[in-house]
Amino acid sequence: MPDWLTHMGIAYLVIWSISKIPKFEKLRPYFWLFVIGMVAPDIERIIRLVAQEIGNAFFLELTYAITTVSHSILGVAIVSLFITSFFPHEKNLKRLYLALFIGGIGHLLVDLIMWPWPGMGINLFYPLAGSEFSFSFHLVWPGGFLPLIVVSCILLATVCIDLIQRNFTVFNFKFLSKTERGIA
Amino acid sequence: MRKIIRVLFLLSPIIILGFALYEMDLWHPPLNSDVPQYIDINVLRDHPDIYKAPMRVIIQGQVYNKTGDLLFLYGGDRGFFLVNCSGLDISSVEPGMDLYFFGLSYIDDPLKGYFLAENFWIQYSYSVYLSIPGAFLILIILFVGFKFNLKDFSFSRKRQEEPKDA
Repeated sequence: MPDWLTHMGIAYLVIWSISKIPKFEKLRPYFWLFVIGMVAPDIERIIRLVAQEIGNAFFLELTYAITTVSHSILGVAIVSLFITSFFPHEKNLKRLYLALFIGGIGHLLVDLIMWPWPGMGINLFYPLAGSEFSFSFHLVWPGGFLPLIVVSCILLATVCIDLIQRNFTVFNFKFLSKTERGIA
Repeated sequence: MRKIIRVLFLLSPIIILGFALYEMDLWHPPLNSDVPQYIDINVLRDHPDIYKAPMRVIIQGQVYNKTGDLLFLYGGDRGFFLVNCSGLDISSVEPGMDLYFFGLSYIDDPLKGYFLAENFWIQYSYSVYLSIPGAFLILIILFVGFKFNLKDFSFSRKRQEEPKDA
């Protein structure tokens, strides 16, 4: 259960890698939707933060229950539907939904490295819940800084690569030299 | 998108909320006693005979105090919950910390009445607070990148795609 920053960092790394492959250029409109999808299952964090600050045990308990549901394939499908409803003018809703859904599945994959979740894992196939249906690779402790530090270092490396190549492919932004600008 | 479908999509989180409310009070006996069971302290107290040793159990709780090898966890209105950590180094544990314990339950045993910890992990929960800057970034993506439209309560890239001379 890494924080939103780590999830966004990982999502950026994914879209950065895809943006380097010209074949996937048509996926560009969905890059940032993938990033949103990647953090969407943690949408209850806002309620948890408020519940923690005001010390409301019921809402705090509820957010943990929401986490159990939202961190499943069914939960990701529902949250993606909810976000899709905010894009009624989009031409291709199916692709938009798919981008969000794939992002959500990416979120679950990242969370699978974490432990110990309640039941020592994520209930991927909720409503099948409980310790018997929990999955986790048991690699990293949730809530720590380690995932964020690792992701930040890799992210910094991608920025360096982009700077060397003078081409931020994710943002479709090229640095032009003085002569190149003159030609343009 | 048709309005009725949109409304249904907007209401879809109710399904998650319904499941979550159902999950809050849900308890069912473990299907496989060989799998370590994660349970709430109160559930352990309600069903001590089901979770008793040799079944491995995982519990989570906040430390109120410690005396020697014994830890006292907050147990709500039912009094403190006793965890025996003999054989473990608990010098790093301080009152107020959230801990996960892996071990055996002897709370149904009148002679023991404690939870014997075989291992423990201190829970550091920075992630909720680290989510705040992430939330700001998401808001920037949504409101600047996708342009929120208050009139029909939607994010739209339509205006971005429109030709300038239109």
